[in-house]
Amino acid sequence: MIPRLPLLFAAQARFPAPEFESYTLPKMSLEELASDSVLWRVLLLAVFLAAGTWFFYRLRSRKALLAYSVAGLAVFGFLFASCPCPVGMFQNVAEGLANGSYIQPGVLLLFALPLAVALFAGRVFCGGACPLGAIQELLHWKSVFIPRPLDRILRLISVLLLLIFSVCAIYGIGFPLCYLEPYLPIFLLDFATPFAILSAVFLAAGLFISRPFCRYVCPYGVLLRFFSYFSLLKPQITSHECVNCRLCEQGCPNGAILPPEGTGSTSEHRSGFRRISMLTALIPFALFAGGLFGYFCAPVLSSFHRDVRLVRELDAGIKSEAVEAFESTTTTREELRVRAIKLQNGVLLASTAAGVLFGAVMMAELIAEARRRKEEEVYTIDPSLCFCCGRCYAACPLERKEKHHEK
Amino acid sequence: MKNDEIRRTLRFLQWTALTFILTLGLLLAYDMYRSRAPIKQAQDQLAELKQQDLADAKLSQTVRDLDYLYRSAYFQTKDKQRRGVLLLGIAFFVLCGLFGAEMFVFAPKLKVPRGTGAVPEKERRQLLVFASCGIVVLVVALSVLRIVLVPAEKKPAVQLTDAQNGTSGEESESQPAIPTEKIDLLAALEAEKSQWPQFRGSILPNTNALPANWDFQEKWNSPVELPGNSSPVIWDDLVFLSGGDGTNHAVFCYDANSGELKWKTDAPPAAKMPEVTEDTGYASPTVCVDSKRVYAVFATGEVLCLGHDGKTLWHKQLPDPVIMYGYASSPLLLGDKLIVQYDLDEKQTVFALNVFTGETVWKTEREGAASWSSPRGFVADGKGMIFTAGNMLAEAFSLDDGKVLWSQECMGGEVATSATSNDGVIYFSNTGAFTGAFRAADGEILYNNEDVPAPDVASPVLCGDQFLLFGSGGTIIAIDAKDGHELYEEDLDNGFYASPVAVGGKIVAVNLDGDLYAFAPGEDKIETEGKYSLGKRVVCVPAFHRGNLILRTSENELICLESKP
Amino acid sequence: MTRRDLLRLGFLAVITAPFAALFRKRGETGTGYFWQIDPDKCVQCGKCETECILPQSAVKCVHQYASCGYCLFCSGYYQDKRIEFNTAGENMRCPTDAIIRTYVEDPYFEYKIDEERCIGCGKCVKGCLSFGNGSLFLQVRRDLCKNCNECRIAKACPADAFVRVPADHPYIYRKPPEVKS
Repeated sequence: MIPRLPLLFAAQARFPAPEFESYTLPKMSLEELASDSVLWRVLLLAVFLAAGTWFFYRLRSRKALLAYSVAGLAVFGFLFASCPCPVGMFQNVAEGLANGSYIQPGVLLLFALPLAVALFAGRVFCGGACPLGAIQELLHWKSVFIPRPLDRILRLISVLLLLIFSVCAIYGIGFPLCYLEPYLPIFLLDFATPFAILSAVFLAAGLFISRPFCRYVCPYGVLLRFFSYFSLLKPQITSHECVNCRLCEQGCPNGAILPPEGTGSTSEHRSGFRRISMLTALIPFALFAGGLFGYFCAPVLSSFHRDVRLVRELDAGIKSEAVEAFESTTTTREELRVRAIKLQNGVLLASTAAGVLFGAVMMAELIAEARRRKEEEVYTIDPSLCFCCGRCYAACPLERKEKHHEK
Repeated sequence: MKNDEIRRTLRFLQWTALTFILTLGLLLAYDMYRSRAPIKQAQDQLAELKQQDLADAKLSQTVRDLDYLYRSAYFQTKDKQRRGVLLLGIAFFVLCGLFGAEMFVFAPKLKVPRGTGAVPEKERRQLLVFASCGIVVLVVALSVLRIVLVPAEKKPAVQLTDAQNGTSGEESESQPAIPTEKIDLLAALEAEKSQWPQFRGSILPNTNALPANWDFQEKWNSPVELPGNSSPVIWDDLVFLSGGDGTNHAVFCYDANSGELKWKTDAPPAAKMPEVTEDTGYASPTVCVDSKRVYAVFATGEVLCLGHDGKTLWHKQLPDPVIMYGYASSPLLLGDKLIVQYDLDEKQTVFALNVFTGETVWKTEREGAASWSSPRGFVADGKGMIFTAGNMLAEAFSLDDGKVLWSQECMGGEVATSATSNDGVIYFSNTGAFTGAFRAADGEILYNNEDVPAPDVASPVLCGDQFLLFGSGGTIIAIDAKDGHELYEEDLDNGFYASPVAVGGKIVAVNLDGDLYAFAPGEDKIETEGKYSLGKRVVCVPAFHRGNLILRTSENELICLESKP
Repeated sequence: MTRRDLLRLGFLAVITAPFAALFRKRGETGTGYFWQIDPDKCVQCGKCETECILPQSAVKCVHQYASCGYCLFCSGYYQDKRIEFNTAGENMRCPTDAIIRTYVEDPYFEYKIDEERCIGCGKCVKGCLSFGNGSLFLQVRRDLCKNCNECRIAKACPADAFVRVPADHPYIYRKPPEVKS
């Protein structure tokens, strides 16, 4: 082993502590944390989720849900520091589980609480307890209707991001979601970063497209979507008998309201069968294509890792600060190189696997969309797509009438 | 209508807030962008100015003005931006509130449904099939694009180097040159013989080429930026010496052939500046040089190791040198260790530092008082040993572990001269202490001639079987190296501070007048073979370079003398 | 029990699995959620000043008095090329004059960081390490840090000196240096 240069600037007792006659050493005045603020956040989140559930399922009031959003934005967005928020926690959990390291209870609770609630009451979290959801909910002006097929295809992006970001978190490449999250500059009031451009783009898009981040980008939303599919409580547009007035159909900007499903003719059944057979036949191809995509993404992903970058710089003979800092450690170049190669191989494998998984999820979603739904005479809400905003309650004439009567 | 008024007001407020946010955001972004460059510029400019000679009053005033300007600008800008950003945050929240309020106050307008009811299932599903094909095509296209556009990425980003594959040794080139091989002591000493590597040349008898004749002419003369009493040393064609004035301390490297200053490397600044007398100065210890590195010790207790290219390899701060007159012992380079005799007023220590890293390999504390003597290395039984003369003890240490091999309580007074050795005998002479010889193996005192006046500055020299003492009053005394009886005595015009050296059977000595002598010891008198008057005060030992002499004068000059043809 | 109920139970089990992992790993310490700088790894590159998302960085210099030599000529206080040991701008190390020097007793001086002014550039830390005991070092201040899940400084740190610390030990102090005899 080749010995490293000694740490030139290591702390040394060059000057022994003086013996003073009448002077006592001042204490270092560093503020300790009064309490683990993450746990406070969990508690507050639980309160919010309970309130949201109550507003959405019992009060069925758009106004209450709006207030819920404003409160969520104020509390989780501006009042508290915006981190940690449940949206990014899947990365911490993935990293912790993969490395076998200790996950903070607060982190774990933040991650699991909205999912647990989704299992019982749908995506109440997205409605307003999530500051990202809240700001999009509030800064929405006029809805541009996105054709349903396009909407379903675009939301696959979030699945891809979930897989890629998980790979990044597991292999210590970083938490890209927290780095790129478009609303963070607003909550942190830091507009000097180039990321502020991303926020501007998403905010501008959000004025016309309802919740562009939640629907097409949010990786945590994928999990919420999945869990809320099994939701115990089902959102219903009206508690009265639906008259199929079609007013709510355009009232939902998120494409969560499904039109009635007719019985369907024999030819419709036949063509449906053909479509599904075709999609099923495409599955191996999709898996392969996904795997290939993941395989090619791997070098890009691993190039963001510190070790890999360091080895590249060392090989290129660049004298960067990182290289100089590395030179002063006891790690040898060989150890670093072996570590980098190991990581690179791991990322290659994981990325390819993630690609294959993405292919599978993509095909599953497409087949689910191509399938005929259960026969239904009235307008229904897809709980996995509903953001619990309560717009449909306000749009439904039956609900309005009821509210009017109450007054 | 009232509702319309509210809606109009809300819309107006929304637009106002939006415009406000946009304007403020753009202004802020512009301000942040604009302020970043000048702040950085001022920062760099300041850093650069601070590196220049600040003794210039005008320059220091400029630095002060710029410093003030920079500081106030920095905090004003930051304050302004902080306020702006806070305002922007509030505006954002207000905007969200206004949008929320509109939705809160007004129920959504009920629109008359368009089209013919629900989107036909068939159409929707056909679209889906197209979309699915589109996605697959997209994925494939992306993959193909990657293969075509980024072919380099096909191979893994990080690969095993050739060295790790076991083919070639490219790796070793990029590694910083820290040799791991043990330095062979005897081979190193042998290599030093024809160089001039440390105080008074090499440890084995010097075999440097002597000048062709003693009629000299000045080959070159270069100024030395910083004063110092340290002597020049030479490795191949590079001359090294140190200088220091109490603020700056540096090692200089000159080209031995042209006298051109090749580089100068500053020592790290000292936090505590010791008090030294003018005679001693801040750079009295002579530097050592080996085939790759130069080692310098300063009166501040700083040990500095540089490469031959002037790059700092390591440096080390020894404990505060609290010593009367100032610290002056030259370090001793012996194999892979640098020996520093560190006899301070309070504590007397011998350090052995690893030449590669500067780590302390061993240190041995001794009893006694301050001394200014330099350690002497010698070899016995193929092993390196060190002799030190201090105030009280004459001792020998093992080079490997610093164990005291023997010690004699025979010294006293202010010990400043250094020992010399040959053939298993160590010779030493210092006024008020001792003039005699020790057997290197066990330290037995072979003789001690207390009758002769011993030198107090210049170290004595051994030439043939004579041991010669050069006094600071100008007296040269020769004693028999075997039994110590006085052979003869000779008086010269002025005294010697610079230690004489023996090269090739001749003794070369410079006195305080700058008279350069070449002596050959005779049977009953010393033969003056040559004399050259420099006319400048010299207290440093001359160095030999290919038949030329390189001298440092007290007038901060480095002079190279060559024989007239 | 319907099929859907069964599925729901299954998913409940899935979410509770991480909790099980949590309790299993309870014993491990040394990790946490809060960012901090390991002063032994820090190379004072100056990124802490510029990379933090806050207008003024949450990283500040702190002074561990117990390790300080109370030097007369503090190399964290004075810059390398200073000509005199006074407070004139050209002699100072700190670009924002955030180190306050007070006389204690001969020949010792106390150095204190004015946190309002400290910008976390680390220049004094480098100065102190080059010739002092290393009693000055950079730390992320808990009251200022927003604790972003992905710390921008950590991402930019060339020395990988940012680590996660638990809430009950939010600071990493320099080990009191061994006193060499």
